[in-house]
Amino acid sequence: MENEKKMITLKSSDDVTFEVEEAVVLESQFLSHLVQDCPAPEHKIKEVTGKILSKVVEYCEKHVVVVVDGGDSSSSSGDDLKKWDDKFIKEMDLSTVYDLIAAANYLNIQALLDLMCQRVADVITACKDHKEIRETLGIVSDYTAEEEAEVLKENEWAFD
Amino acid sequence: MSELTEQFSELSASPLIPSLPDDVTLDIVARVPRSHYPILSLVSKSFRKLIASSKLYKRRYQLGITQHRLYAVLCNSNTGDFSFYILHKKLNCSNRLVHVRSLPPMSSRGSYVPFGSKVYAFNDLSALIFDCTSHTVHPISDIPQRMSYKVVNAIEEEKKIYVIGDSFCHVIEEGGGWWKGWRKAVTVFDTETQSWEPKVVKEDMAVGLGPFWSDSVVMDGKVYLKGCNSKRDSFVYGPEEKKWELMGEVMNSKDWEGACVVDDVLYYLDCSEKVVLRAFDPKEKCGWRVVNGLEESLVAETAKSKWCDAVSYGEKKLALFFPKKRDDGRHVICCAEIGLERCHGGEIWGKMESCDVVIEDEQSELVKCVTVTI
Repeated sequence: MENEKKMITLKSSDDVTFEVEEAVVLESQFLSHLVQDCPAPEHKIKEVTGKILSKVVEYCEKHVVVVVDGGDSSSSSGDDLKKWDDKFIKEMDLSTVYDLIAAANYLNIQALLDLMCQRVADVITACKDHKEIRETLGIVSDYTAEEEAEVLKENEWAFD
Repeated sequence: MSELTEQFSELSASPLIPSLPDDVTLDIVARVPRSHYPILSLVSKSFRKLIASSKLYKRRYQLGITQHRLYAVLCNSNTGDFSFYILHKKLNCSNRLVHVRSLPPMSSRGSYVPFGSKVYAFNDLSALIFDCTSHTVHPISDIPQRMSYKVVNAIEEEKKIYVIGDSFCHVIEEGGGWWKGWRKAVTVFDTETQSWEPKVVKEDMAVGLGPFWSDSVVMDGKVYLKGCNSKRDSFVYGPEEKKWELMGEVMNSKDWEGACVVDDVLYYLDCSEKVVLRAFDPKEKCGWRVVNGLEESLVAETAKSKWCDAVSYGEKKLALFFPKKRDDGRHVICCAEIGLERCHGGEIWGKMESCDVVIEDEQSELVKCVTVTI
């Protein structure tokens, strides 16, 4: 019993268009409301560029839950999805991750936001010391040398 | 500074991570392992503030990514100092017990009990809380009356801590007269209101010669007190009805000193003959079990150990601390992490996940181990 799938077009800030199934759009709370309230065939998303929107669409298409005949089956099993997620974030540079965080925040896609936060957390965890964390994240320290020595002393147990 | 400029300076404060909103950074930091937090607090002042804030630990709890961390109190036999240590594993290194130097020395008469992310320490009268998220110590109100030979247990669901010991109190006789004597008593500390409840005296338990307890644990909302001497000095205290019962014969048949409870099952390492990890589930009728799968690994490590302290280390996991004489003749303390798996039919299998020398100096003696959740 094949229902005809409803297609929706999303247009990025730089006018790149993506045609997706309605189910894919439902992964985003923001877009679900948009599609319900305004039944136009095309939706412009001014806040997201084509480059980032293509990633968002890629993620949502993979994660969309497809109900098959008789069923309770989803498009991919948990393990496969996890593997796919790992590959998706692997070697993604931080500026793309930040843009995806902004997009996931705006479009309200919690799972994507969680995944991106985990990616940044993994980057932090892989740093061997505070200097590397500063460098990686572009943070300028506001400690004086004395203050830094004091904090170091407080946390001595983790360093010696 | 006027209120307005104060508000302004807060608004214009630069974000923790440039180009990310601070609430996202909070979510990111919550996902970083706790062992990395000391490094993070060195990044900048605002990061240090975040690491010390309760909202971070609240977020970790909401996300369900709390971790279990193991702390130990060690006594230095040269100086007589009692101090807190943390079991810490650096990247690609083995476990070690590391002295937390930012904390003051503890009392030699303290009884320690973990509760959430904190450890409560009860001395003769004074009592304090060790906050493991910030590594700070705060006093709480004194124990209302001195209690000797006390044991301390927490029942987390009830948010209460039970201090059970000997108390010098009025004993009322049947005829109406009274005299003073030692009786077993229970004093309860309510962790929500941070206050003591009136003590409950067990009138019919005179304590001239004990009972003295070698160990005590909490299972299924009850406190199990293991006596050292006769068969009739082990008890089970049910806080709900404030009821004392003699401990069941089967459970009392083993000397389970240095035991711990994981998922409502009691575990201890029996070194009396052949070394075995024993388990007892009060809900089962079959009595004591031997944990399978550890015959070779554990026996080799713990051979000739005179004592062993077990401590729960999260779900389905425990840690064993025991002394060992190394090949170079040095006496050291080891820690073995044991993963536990329960099969259908109740059989329990253990797997040694690691076994490391955690203390190498010969002056340190292990006093107490506790696991907190942060």
